[in-house]
Amino acid sequence: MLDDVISILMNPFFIKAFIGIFISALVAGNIGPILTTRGISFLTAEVAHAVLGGAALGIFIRSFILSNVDPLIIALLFGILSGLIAAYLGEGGRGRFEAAIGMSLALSMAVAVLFLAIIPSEDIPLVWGYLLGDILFLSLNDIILLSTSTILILIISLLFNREFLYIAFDEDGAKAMGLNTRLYHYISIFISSLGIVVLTKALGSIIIYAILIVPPMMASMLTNSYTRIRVLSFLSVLIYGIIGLYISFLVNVAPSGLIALLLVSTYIIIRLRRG
Amino acid sequence: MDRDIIIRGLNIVLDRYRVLEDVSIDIRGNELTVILGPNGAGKTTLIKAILGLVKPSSGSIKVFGYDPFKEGEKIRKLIGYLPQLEKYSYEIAIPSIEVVLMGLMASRRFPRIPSKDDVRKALECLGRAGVRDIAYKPFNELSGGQRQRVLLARALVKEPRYIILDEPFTGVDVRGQREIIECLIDLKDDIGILMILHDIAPIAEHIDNLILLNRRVIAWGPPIEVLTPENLKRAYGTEIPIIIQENICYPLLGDRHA
Ligand SMILES: Nc1ncnc2c1ncn2[C@@H]1O[C@H](COP(=O)(O)OP(=O)(O)O)[C@@H](O)[C@H]1O
Ligand SMILES: [Mg+2]
Repeated sequence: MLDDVISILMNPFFIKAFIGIFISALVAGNIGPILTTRGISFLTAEVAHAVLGGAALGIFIRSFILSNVDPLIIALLFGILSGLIAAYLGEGGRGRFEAAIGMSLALSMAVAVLFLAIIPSEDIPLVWGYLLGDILFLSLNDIILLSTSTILILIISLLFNREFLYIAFDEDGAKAMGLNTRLYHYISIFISSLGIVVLTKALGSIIIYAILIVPPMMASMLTNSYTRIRVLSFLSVLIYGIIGLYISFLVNVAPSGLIALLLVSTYIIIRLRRG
Repeated sequence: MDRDIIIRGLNIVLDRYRVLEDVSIDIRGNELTVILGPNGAGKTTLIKAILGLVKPSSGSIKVFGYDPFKEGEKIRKLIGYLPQLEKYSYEIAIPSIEVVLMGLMASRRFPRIPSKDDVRKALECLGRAGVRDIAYKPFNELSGGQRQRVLLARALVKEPRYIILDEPFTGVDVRGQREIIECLIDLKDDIGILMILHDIAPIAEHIDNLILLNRRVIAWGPPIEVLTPENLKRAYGTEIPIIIQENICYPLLGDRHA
C-alpha cells in the first residue's frame, strides 16, 4: 500500500503534474479574487476561448510559416491581446464590458474554427488539449513558460496590491482622488489574462471557471479579508489539485475534471450548511 | 466669497441619451449647496462632470478656474468626493483606516506606502468625523452612518477646499443622518459643501443654496425661493405638497424619487 503511494508520488509524470498544480494554485489564488471582487469574472470564459483560437493559430504558423515557433507562445499572446481588446472595447459604459467580451469571444472562436480547418489534421488534438488541459503531459518548455508567467503575475499582483484593492473597492472615488484607475484596470486585465492562459494550458478551458471563480466565492463565505481569500483560494486549488491528481493516477480520469468536481461539491456543501 | 464652480451651457450626452441640457449655475465656496431632483435627473452625472469624471458634450465648467476634464489633477487635490453608498464593493473587508488612507495614497506616486505621519493624519480625521473608535473595523461591517463618516474622513484627510457628497443619507437611519449632519455643520465654516439629496428634510434649515434639477436646471437659489409649487411640479411632473415652518420650506417628497 505505502509502496504504491510512494511509487505514484515518485512517478516523473506526477512530479511534473504537481509543479503544474502548484503553479495553477498560485495563479488561481491571485487572479480569482481580483476577478470576483471586481465583478469581471466573465473575462475568464473569453480569454480561455481565445487561447483555443491562439493555439490553432500558433499551430498554423508552426506548420506553414515558422517551424520553430512554440504554439503556446502564440496562444499566450493571443489570450492576453484578446483580454486587453475586450477591456478597450468595454471602456466607458455600464454593461459595455460584457458586450465587448461576448464579441471577442465570438471572434476567438471564429479564429479557432478557421485555423482548425487549415492546420494538419494530426495536429488538431493539440488544440483540443487546451480543452482538458495538459497537466500530465507538460513539457519542460511548457513548465518554464508557465512558471515565468506565474512569477510575473505574483510580482505584479504583490506590487500593485493596494491599487487593485482601491479600484475593486471604489473605482469612481479612486479616480476622483487622483489614481490612474485606467492604468491599473489594464494592468489587472493583463495579469488576469496571462493567468487564465496559464490555467487553460494546465487544466483546460472547460473547467477553468470552476478553478478560478469557485475558490474565491467559497473563501468569501468563510472570511472577507482580501489576504485570507487569496490564501484560501490558493490552498483549495492546491489540495484538491493533489487529491485529483492522485485519484487520476489510480483510475485514469482527467485530473482537471476531478478537481472541478471536488471544488464545486465543496462549494455546494458549504452553501447548504450555511443555509 | 468667490464663485468656486462656474457652469455655462453644459450639455452631456451619454449613449445618445441627453442626460443634462443647457445647465448654467454658479456654486460658491463656504456654502452648503444641495442638488435636488427625481431619480435619473442627472444629479450624479452633474457632479461627475464637476469632478472631471465625465466629459461634457458642450458648454464649459470651471472649478477653481480649472477645466476639470482637462486639468483634473489640479482640482482633485482640492475636492473630496463621497460616491453613493451602493457604489462600493462590500465583498472585501477593508479596515476603515485603510479606506481613509486611500484619500492620501490615491494621489501619491507609486509605491504607495503610508508613513507613520499618514496614519496619524488618518486617525485624526476619523476623530474629526467622530468615528475614531472604529478605525480598525472593516468598512463593510459598519452601519450606513458610520460608513458615511469614514468616507467623510477619507475626504477630509486631503485637506480639501470642497466636499461633494452623493446621496449621503440614502440607507442611513435617522440617528446616522443626525451624526453626519453634525459633522458637516462643523466643517461648513472652512469647507464648501455640495451634496445631492432626494429629500432635503433632514438638513433643510442649513441649506444656503438649492439647485432643482431634472435634466435641466428648473430653478436655483435660496431654498425658499426655489421650492415653489410650480417649480416642484416642473421637476417632479406631479404636485408636491409643501410645509413651510419658521420660514423653512419642506417639500413632502416621500419616496417619490424611486
Ligand atoms: N454611462 C451612461 N451611459 C448612458 N446613460 C447613462 C450613463 N450614466 C447615466 N446614464 C443615464 O443618465 C440619466 C441620469 O443618471 P444619473 O446622473 O445617475 O441620475 P441621478 O443621479 O439624478 O439619479 C439616467 O437616466 C441614467 O440611466
Ligand atoms: Mg445618482
